[in-house]
Amino acid sequence: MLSENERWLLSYYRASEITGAMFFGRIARMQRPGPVQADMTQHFADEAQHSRWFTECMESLDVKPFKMSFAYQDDYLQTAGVPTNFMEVLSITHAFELRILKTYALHRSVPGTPIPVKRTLERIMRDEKWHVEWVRTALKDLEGEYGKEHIKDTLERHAAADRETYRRFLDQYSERVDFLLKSREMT
Amino acid sequence: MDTKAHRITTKLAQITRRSVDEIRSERSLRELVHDSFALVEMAVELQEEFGVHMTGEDFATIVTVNDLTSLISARMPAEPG
Repeated sequence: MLSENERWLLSYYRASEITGAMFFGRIARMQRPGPVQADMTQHFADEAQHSRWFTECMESLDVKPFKMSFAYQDDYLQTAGVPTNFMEVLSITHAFELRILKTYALHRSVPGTPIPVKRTLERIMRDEKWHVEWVRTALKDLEGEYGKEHIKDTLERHAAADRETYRRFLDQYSERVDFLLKSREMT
Repeated sequence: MDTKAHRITTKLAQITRRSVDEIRSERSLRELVHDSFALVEMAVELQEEFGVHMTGEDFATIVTVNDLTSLISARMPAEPG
């Protein structure tokens, strides 16, 4: 049995996965053939798959996803600023993927979370861990081109933007995510 | 129009799926690129094509096609001559 708030949140995750997939697909299309394009292609294929898994998860619990016209990334770009080169795309991706991992890990740990939801989150988190790894490797490889300190500063800037975006998300949707935050207070 | 500007304009036309004639120098970039994701795509694709890094500060000063073309031209490696 899925609560309305959990159904809303899973729908929000699903919309964010779709948005991520479409964004990376467009970026991957313009990359030169090579290892980075290959990894980015895998990344966006994963995100598309994740959205499907969320749909299947909800349908297994006899609900359909809500149609969402917004995703986490929309607010994120407003706060972080539009990335204007490939290094910044990777940096913003890094911050975003870490946020996903933390959020999904928290959600998975909420007492009473239906088993299909837990399994789906675990399955997706395995992919997301690889996403963080390949992006970190790609950023390391860009140090010669962009400078190690500049990349570090960019990562910190995007991490700060993520914290701000997440705070706003929690404020704006406090009723929807209350069940997540209450479980965090209990641990 | 010089060679560099022509190349950049042609690439912009390709990215925005418009004819080269529509990429007039005085035209506002926001008219051509409607949302943030499209702007990211454009920035990254121009970077891949011309080897030029741009920053958020750069984009804060870019209003027209001419602004963008001038910035990229100035940073492009010199053509062999």
